[in-house]
Amino acid sequence: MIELLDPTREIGSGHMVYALRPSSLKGKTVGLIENTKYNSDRLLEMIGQILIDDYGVAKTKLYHKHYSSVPAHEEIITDVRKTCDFMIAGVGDCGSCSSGSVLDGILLEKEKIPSASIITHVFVNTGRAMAKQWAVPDYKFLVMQHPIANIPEDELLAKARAIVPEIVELLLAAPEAKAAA
Amino acid sequence: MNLQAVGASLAATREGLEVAGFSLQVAERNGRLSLTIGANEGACEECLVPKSLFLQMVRDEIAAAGEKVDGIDVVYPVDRKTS
Repeated sequence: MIELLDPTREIGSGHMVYALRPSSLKGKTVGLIENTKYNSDRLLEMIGQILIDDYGVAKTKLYHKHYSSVPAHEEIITDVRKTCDFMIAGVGDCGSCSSGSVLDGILLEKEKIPSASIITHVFVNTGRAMAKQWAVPDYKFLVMQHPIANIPEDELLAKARAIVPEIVELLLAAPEAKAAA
Repeated sequence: MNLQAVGASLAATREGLEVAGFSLQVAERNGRLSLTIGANEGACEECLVPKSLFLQMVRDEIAAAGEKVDGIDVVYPVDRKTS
């Protein structure tokens, strides 16, 4: 039997309340939740390595979602909450996987884990619609140029290098002065 | 309904569909906006978002363009397979 999973819900309105941010990434553990799409794991690994090399992150933990279009499963959320200081989700380069990665970020922020969700520019409206459906229309996610699948390693690395400063900024400073205590 | 303007307002949604191997057909039927998604060869059907999310996206785009529609009907490829 095929189980149909719909991660959407009734639209609501509100503001994103971000997790409290530490002042530095040094010595911290960063969870990387890849959404099963081609090159997502590779790109997140590259981002993780840059964070280790250039920002003093102690280690990264790579998690694999079961399905790209739904939020990370409970065991992933629980492990990130218990063992990680930050989380990066992505990379959304299709409709459903973009909405799924945006939702991962929203859910982990609600679990008090500073998070960054990454999608590609073609799916900004998808990410925004998902944030709206979860009553946080102002939720900030990060955007990189499409595509990430089927591109050579050096281009992938260039994309990773380009987005890391934005990731660091988002992980260390909530977009608005509504950080949760 | 200004069908041409409504169709133009959906450029972002159309681009997202096309990179995943789909097409978007825009029409007016009985005063309602009819959006039919077609699957080209190799289309990634699991990449389609749930219809409620799709409707949210197109409503937002239409509203942002200052256009108005009385109702929207969406037909996904799977709807035609099962009908």
